[in-house]
Amino acid sequence: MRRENALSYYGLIAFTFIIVLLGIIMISSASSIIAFAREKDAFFYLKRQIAWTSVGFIGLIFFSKVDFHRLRKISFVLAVISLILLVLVLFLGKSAGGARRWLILGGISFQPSEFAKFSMIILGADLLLRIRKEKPGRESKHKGYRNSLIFIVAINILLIILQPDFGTAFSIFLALFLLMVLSGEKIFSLFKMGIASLPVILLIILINPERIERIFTFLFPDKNVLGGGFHLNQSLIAIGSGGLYGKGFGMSRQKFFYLPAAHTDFIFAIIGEELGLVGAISVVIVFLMFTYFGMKIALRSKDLFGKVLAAGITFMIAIQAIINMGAVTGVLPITGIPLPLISFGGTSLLFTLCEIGILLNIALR
Amino acid sequence: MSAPRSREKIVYHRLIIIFSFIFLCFSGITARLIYIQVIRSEEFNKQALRQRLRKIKLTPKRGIIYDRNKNVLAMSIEVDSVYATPRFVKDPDNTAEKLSLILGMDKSIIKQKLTRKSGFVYIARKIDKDKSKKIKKLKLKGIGYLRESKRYYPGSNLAPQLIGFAGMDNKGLTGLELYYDALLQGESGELVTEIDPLGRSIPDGVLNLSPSIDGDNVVLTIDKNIQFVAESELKKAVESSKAKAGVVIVMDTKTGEILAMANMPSFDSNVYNQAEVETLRNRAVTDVYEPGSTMKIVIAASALEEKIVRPQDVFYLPSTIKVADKEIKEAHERPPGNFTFSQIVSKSSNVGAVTIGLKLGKERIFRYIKSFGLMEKTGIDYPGEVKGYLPPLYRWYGSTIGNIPIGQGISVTALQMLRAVAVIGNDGVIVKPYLLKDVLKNETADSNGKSKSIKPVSRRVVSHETSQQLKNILKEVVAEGTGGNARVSGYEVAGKTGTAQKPKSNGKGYEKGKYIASFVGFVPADNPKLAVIVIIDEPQGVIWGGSIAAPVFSNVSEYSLRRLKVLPAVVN
Repeated sequence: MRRENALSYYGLIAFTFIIVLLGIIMISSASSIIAFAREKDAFFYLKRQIAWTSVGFIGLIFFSKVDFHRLRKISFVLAVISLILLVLVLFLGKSAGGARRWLILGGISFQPSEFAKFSMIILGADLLLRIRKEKPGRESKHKGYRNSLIFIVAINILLIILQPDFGTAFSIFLALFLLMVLSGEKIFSLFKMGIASLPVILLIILINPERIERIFTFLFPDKNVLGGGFHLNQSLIAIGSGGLYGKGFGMSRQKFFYLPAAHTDFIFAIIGEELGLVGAISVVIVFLMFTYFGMKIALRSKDLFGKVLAAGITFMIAIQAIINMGAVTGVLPITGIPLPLISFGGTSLLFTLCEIGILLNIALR
Repeated sequence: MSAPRSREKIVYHRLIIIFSFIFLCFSGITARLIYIQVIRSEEFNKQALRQRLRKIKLTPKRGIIYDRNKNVLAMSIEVDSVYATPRFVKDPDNTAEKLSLILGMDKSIIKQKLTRKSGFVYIARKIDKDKSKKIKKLKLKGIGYLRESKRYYPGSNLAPQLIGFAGMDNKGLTGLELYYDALLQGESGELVTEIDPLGRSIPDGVLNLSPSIDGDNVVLTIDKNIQFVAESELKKAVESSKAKAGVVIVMDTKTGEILAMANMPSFDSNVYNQAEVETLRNRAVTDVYEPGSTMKIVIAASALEEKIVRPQDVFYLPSTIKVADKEIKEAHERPPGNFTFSQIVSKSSNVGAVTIGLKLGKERIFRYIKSFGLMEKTGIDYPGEVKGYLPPLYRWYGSTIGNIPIGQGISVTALQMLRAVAVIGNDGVIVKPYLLKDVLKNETADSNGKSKSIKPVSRRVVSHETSQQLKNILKEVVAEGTGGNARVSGYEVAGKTGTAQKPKSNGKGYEKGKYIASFVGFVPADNPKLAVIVIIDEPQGVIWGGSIAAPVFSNVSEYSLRRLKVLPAVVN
């Protein structure tokens, strides 16, 4: 391992640890009330998060040891598994809060859309770079790969929207789009694709009145405090009342059922409330540093597949963090995606840690 | 070789651009955080407090009302109120059915409450302990209980008009419960807590607690036993004479302490909402009546004080006397004859009283009536006291001076009349009647156990000599005159009977067959301890004060004197 890579390698490990630890600590506070109310055990979610963290680190170690090139060979297999799971969840999934997002396998709930994120990035990095293997002048062959990628990703996204889980679908879309930008797609064709996808996105939004309401709430937050604006308003109250230094760890008041999903999608609001501006900005910086080291690994990689895969993974994590924190602070519409490595949620944690394992593997080569 | 190389470059540049973009996004979120957590922090903090702080009123325990010997007359007990949280009620029909059986309420009313769109609705407030126990056993979903304090009157129908009652919210509504509400009520406290959106309090969320201060206990001048005897004797008299109502007041002649204040008809304070309106009044202070012959005491006292007569002066009285256009007769027709001044009072001669009245003249009569406190409220510590009516001098017609001396055309309350007569027993000094003997400060209050005592108010009305002379005359009333039935064995009684026709409500003339029979006096005559007035309103059949009211006086006095351990005088 070269010296520059060593810094990124260990930096990434360090910040992963910091984020995961922060997540566990904040879940212990944010989930305790709802855990006790629902499960009569204040540590219910904490225990599960710790268990998933252990599994996740096994995944991380595994993927950091296995040559990432092997993933390229099974990218289609992963995509097919993803499709099967996404179809299965629509029929057999556990319904909660008006959505079917979870498959229950032997008492463990599993979120196929998280696996979809993982597999789509690997597939994307693979297909977008197949052109390099071809001889120059075989542009049409590349387009074939690219279009088939678009097709597969579109089906995945569609299945995820059917759950419905617009946030995850959108983050996959955005990560894949950035992957295309990165992989050297011509600006003009990117522009065309962007224009083409706009009406589709609009249509998807307009089909569901709830999404219209969310967009409306986002645009005019004060008009709808009791309806859809309730979540956002409670989130802002949490963060705002935290002030500069916060109320102190464990002292959140908003977690007493004022703020919904305090331990999952809105955990960042609890961080803002308990740890204040200092804590909230620290989280932003931690993610920024994580992204920085991820990018650094991508840049240093001699291997173009490794470069694109590393970048794709980093994008995926950064995009989710931005969309989540943006929604919680009211600068982006609420879409319902977790804050990576911090929000409670086993599948997300597992695959995020696996992805980080791949990043580390790329850094090693 | 150049193509892949340029491609590497493209990837490199675009990666830098995308990372810059991500960096910008993170910076944007940071800026937003500063905006929310610094610039608008205070505003959000206020919003947060507004939505989760709740002020809970802590109700103090209402003070106890004791009689003079610390027997409880009114106290507060803890009882359950049943409420429902309608959205948690599983089966409104079945729940209503079960509740209606125990509470004895209409099922449809309960069901209507259970299905109301509200988070809280009372089903029944302050119910019996055994009822609430039964309901609790059913373990009904959505039904809850609140501990509330309820006023309880151990004596049930003992002095209900006097004590009054406190309502659902523990505020005094009538009587002494109302008059001393400020003392009894205490101070409510406040608990500021933090609650979650469902109204449950947040653990460790108490921000501020100012505890409630329980009400003070008050001690009345009333003697429970004397009150009881006064009530039962009065009840007997009212029932046997088929009267409409009656009043007995027993007062300490020298201090003005009220020992009993009985009213009939009566009611049970514990179920005051079932009482008839007619039974609620404390007639002793809220109702006026024309005193009739008992007024002769005031006239006689005035004449003696003015020294225009001496007790042994003899008057020749015709059968009737004409004043202006009105002829005044005696109650029992008699031939013309000689009467001493004493006999005019003891035999209750109307003609004699008018004769004395004419000698006094209206100005002096007016002045003495006023001096005896008959034109002002006694100032007793009881709400809603009224004063009697005496027409101002310029409205006295020619015949008025023929009416006032025999207690017509003037109205007084029983308490006013008792107080006026007690003047004679109290050596010519008028006292202020009162009911509050002591206030026992609650332990939680700062002045530990210090009690507030009331100083008697007094004023001289007539001289010692006058009161002695009149006292002797009033002894004669009982010894050999109209008040024979008022005698108490072992004690000498001084007093006066009264039988007055009731004026018509329009003020023109008198109702035929409607009388007020009364007796007022004090005992033992030479060193009086008690002043007692008995008033029977509209007795049927025998209507004379000496026949109906005097025996009540006798029985109540006899019991009271023994209870108070007043030594009997040696008489004959």
